[in-house]
Amino acid sequence: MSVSVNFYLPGGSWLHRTDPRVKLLFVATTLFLLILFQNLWLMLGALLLLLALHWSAGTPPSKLGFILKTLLPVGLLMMILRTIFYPEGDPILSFWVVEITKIGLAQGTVLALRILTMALAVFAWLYTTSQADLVQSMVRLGLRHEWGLVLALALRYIPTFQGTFTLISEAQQARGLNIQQHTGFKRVRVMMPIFVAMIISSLRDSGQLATALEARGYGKPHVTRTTLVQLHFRRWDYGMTGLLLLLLISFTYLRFRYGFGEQPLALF
Amino acid sequence: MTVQRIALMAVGIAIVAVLVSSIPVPIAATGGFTHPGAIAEIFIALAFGPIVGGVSAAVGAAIADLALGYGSFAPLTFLAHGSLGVIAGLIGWKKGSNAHFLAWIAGGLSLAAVYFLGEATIYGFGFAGAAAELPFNLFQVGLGLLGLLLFQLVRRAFPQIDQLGEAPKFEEL
Repeated sequence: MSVSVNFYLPGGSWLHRTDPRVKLLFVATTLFLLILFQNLWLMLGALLLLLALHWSAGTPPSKLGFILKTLLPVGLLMMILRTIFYPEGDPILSFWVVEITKIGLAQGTVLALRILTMALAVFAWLYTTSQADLVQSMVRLGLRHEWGLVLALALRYIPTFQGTFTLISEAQQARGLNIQQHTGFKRVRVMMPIFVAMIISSLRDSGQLATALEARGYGKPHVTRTTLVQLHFRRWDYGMTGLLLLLLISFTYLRFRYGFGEQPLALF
Repeated sequence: MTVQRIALMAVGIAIVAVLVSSIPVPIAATGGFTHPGAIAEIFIALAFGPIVGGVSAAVGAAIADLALGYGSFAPLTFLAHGSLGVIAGLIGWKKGSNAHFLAWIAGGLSLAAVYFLGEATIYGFGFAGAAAELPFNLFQVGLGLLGLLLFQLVRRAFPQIDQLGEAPKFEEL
């Protein structure tokens, strides 16, 4: 089983062209507001807006389906648990000890929508930003250059180690290691020889990597760093930043001053 | 930061991400799946300390969450797995096997606690919802016990591991 860590879907939409730093601000703002509000209508509004955002960015439906398929089980579970364990107000349906109320159901739905919308916001950023831009934007926002390099190298090594794992696993199975017959703790115990070989191989890689970095003079003091990828903050990006900050401040003010979006069903 | 440390952290993050995202471990009782990520996290924390351990666990597990589609949980995963790496590294790094055992327990409990509190309060699942996830998280860190074994085995086969995080020392002959 191999999972891709290259999230970027190349394209030329407005979201692709927006500066990655603005998209990072968008993710932070959206996650904060989605956690702040508990209102069903606001959550539904956010869901529609985020779907429209993905549509305008040209995200293929299969990618949205992947997010939905992953999060639907946990979303539904949380919705059911919240509805059953925290009933509030008059029951609309009751059987045995379980009471389902309008407010409880609304709160449960809000939870499920929150899980889904948060993921849609995060993936709107990841699907439209290339790995190089992603790392570069964090460095430009103040992340130390070394940490940016760590992140970039890690992303580069993940497919390599997936390959190493498959290779060693198949080699061990060819020698008679039977993984499939066990589950749980026993399964992992049986896989130990694979992990040992994989870890030692990757630690050797790390040694070579360190030598390679050193050979290129990485970490030499008093040098000016240059970058291949340049980020440009355009007028559009300033406008979007202003808009996001305005949304963040006004919604937060409304929430704490007037209780906007605090109730599951009523807006105020 | 030395280049050795940069390389080690990059490799650490990648190992954790692969073990969390790409190696499913079926659980017989529920028919569900878990992952052996905690083994790698404990191993890296014990071998290379709280900084490399914390960064590898936090970033690696968060990347794996994103790759698997759990985008909404990635920030919480970053904190929960990061706390495991830091705490296990603080307690068990360069210590004996008793400290290793304690490092696993404390790190595992902190992961479960951060997930539980984060889901119950910030995500708003309530204690019932967060409690439903608790057994999965505890089982997942329970597998981390094998991280102690992994550390022993790797160290026996690859003794250079103790010098990996440090800059090489050269001596004039």
